[in-house]
Amino acid sequence: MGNAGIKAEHVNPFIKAAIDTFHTMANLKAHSGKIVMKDKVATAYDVSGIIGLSGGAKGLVALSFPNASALAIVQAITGEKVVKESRIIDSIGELANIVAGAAKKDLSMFKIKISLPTVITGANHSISGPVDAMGLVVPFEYPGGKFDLTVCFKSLI
Amino acid sequence: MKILVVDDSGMIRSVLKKYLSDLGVKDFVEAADGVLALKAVATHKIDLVFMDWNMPNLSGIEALKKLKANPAYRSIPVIMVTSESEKAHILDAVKAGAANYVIKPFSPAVIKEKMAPYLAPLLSEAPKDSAEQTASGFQAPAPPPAEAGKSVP
Repeated sequence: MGNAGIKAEHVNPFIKAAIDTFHTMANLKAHSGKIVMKDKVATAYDVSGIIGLSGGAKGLVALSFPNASALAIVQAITGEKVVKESRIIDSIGELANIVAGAAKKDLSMFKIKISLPTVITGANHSISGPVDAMGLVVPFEYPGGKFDLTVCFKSLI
Repeated sequence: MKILVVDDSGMIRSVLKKYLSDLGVKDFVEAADGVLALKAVATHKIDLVFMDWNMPNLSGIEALKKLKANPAYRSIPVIMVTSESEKAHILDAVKAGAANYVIKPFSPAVIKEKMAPYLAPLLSEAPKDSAEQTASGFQAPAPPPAEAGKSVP
């Protein structure tokens, strides 16, 4: 399975997990938009939580938020009105962790292991997956904000 | 009841404390990894632990195994709270002595359900007038002043 091997069935569990996570943790309905295929590099918003995938597949999962949207989702989850930057960074990383963890149970055939989260901040940074794995970017909107879900996935099985 | 909340995410610790506070629990100790969790258990009289799985320094499952290997701490119930949702992981946790398992993302209702066995006995032991005052939920007794502090790494 090469670059063209990325399939909807690989991405759908992550989309479902993102929707479930927003609903369960923040009581918010997140709606996914049209999936865009990106070649190697995806431009991201201001705060990105990234989880590396290994095991029977390699790649990454990233949730990337504009600053205001990141603040909105953290406030919705924690109920905190005043949110420090460190809390936002921690929370976006944890959201990526939860989404990746929830999705991998539907990809059990790959025996995926997930890394601890990494968070990148800064306007218009880029997210690069493995050079031989293509990425799919799924835009989401929810009351109070938006984010991109990026999935770079290559089966090694 | 004093609960140790262990997670490398401050957000998850905050959310768990919020949900548990809504159930009447007011006394918390926090730890950000397995090493700090073991230190917290050694320095506080912990009644129950909520433990994340994937953490730096010492994972939650390793911390659980160390707790269960120590006769002094073996009886403390440990509820794993993790994004690891495969059956194999759940079986590993049960085998290691976990009392229960919460899969992220979780709702307040799930935490309430997992806490029910631990809150019900305390409710039945509560003084009658106290129980009447807290008909809508368990109100834990106020912690002694000396134990009210939290150890947040």
